[in-house]
Amino acid sequence: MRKKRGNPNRIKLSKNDFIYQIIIHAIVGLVTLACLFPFIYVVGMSLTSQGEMVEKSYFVLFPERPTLRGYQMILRQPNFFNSLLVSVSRTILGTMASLVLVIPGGYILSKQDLPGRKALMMFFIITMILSGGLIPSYMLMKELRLLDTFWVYIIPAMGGTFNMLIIKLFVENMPDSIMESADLDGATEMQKMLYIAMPLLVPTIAALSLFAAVGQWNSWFDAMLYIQNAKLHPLSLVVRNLMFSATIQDKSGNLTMYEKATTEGMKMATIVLAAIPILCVYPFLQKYFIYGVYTGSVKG
Amino acid sequence: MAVDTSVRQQAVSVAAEKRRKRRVLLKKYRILYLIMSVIVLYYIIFHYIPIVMGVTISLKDMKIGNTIFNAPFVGLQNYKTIFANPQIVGTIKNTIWLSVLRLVWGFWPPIILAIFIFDVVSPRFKKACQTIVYIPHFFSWVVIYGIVFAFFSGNGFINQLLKRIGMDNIPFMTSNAYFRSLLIGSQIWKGVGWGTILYFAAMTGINPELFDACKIDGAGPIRRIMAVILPAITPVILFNLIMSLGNILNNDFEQVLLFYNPTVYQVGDIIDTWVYRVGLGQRQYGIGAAVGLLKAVVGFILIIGSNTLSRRVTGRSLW
Repeated sequence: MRKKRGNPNRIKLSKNDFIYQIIIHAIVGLVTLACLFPFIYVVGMSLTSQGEMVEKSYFVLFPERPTLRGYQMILRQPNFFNSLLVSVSRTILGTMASLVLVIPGGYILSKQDLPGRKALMMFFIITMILSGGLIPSYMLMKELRLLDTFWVYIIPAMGGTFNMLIIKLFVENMPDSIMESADLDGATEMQKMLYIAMPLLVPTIAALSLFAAVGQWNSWFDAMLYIQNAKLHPLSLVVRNLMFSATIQDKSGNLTMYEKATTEGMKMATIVLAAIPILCVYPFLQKYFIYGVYTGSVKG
Repeated sequence: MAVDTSVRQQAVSVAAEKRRKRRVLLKKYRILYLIMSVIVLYYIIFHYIPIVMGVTISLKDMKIGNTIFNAPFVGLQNYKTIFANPQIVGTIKNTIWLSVLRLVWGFWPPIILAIFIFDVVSPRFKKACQTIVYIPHFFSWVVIYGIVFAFFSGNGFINQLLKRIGMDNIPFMTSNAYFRSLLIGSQIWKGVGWGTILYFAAMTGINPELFDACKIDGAGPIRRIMAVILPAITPVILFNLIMSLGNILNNDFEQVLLFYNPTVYQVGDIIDTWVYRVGLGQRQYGIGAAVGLLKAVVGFILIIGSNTLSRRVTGRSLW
């Protein structure tokens, strides 16, 4: 007789196990719903017209007359496309920058017989746990004339010590025979890094890139700290500012209900727009979740 | 005498051999050293110089008009100001208290969720739930703030719900009583799924024979969790707990900066937000840098300490 696909356990469950399964299905289901529902609610709000929101005094689960007005209003904002361009450029360039030093650094640190390796490890690990803090970082960017330039998003992204240690871990885990055979063929150190280690590191690099890209897309504080010029603000900071400008307007009480409802829908629409790219790369990210495990398993 | 000389010669030749090997390696790796020197230079500029600058600024009187180069040294004046300023002392208390709350409320939900998801027998349900609970981790705090705003603001979902059942409006986002719960709650919501990953990795490493043995012995689900699953993930739990102690001075700065407002400074103002708002915003660079440096040094010691402790207790460490 054919068993039910992928679920051979079901028929064997004892009574206790059966009750336990019902309970954990319910709890896990509820947690999942609790993760999902807020997004659905926000999407619903973003599609609700100002009139309907006032009518139902903001208690809208699903709009009866969905409208794209909130989205239209954002798209009409003069700085929207500009900030989108900044976000996309910083995501692409920042992700590439996050690999430039990290890959060779990790490769070099993996050489067990490299004189001075221990000292170098210490040099890098210290930067993971000790930093000058906010004010010196700001002063440094000021002295380097990087304030109010696009490069303030890119250059600091180059030093990812943690990623360097992950690369090192993966090179160390490559079979010795590969490097030995390359030595026999007379490969130089440079050739070994570029033509032997790099191709084997592709999945690792893909994973680190995806995480770096998500980080770049999401960051807003560096822009708030270093950039005055609104033309260089990324989308995430524009979203943040929009959230706050509306809050202040709420308090001043000068706005009519009509206008207030408009900003509400618009706010939710920007939140959705900021979240969509993350949802788009999420299926790819899922393949690399296992890298989350390396938090706390990087050894020197 | 003869023996002595030969031993000494041997020692000398061993040392010489070592030096020779070193020279060979230095030559073999010279291109790698060249690349490494660029990386080291980058790290000196972007990681080590800020530390030196932090120390320098914290010892100087950075009045408006003074630059880091020409400001006069004032010794430990800035550090003395820290502890005389009740506002700063308050932020230190808030920081630690928030971390303690985060630890107490935040460390166990991922463990329970991980065990429950792991035990779910229907594979499709399991996969679907796993896929969804990880998502919030990847959203920025700005998006999370937007969602929290939609739910907890004056006109938000929760308050509309309260209104329906005839209760008063609760100002969650501007009330000292609710602010910390809001912070911790949204942290748990964002991170609980992602927090299960480490535990999952530990649980998938459990020998399946142990589960079979449980079945044969007639152990119920609770017995199985206690006897098999918990022992397997205990090192991970201990590691997380110990590292949380090391991070007791680190809150989620971006989160607090987004969530807080003047009405909740009393409970919500943490060290980092104070350094940003007052140190940088009001140009109190000297005191700001001193606070930042003090926090960095204490944090450094705490992390080194907890990492060493973790290595001894659990065999796991950050590096």
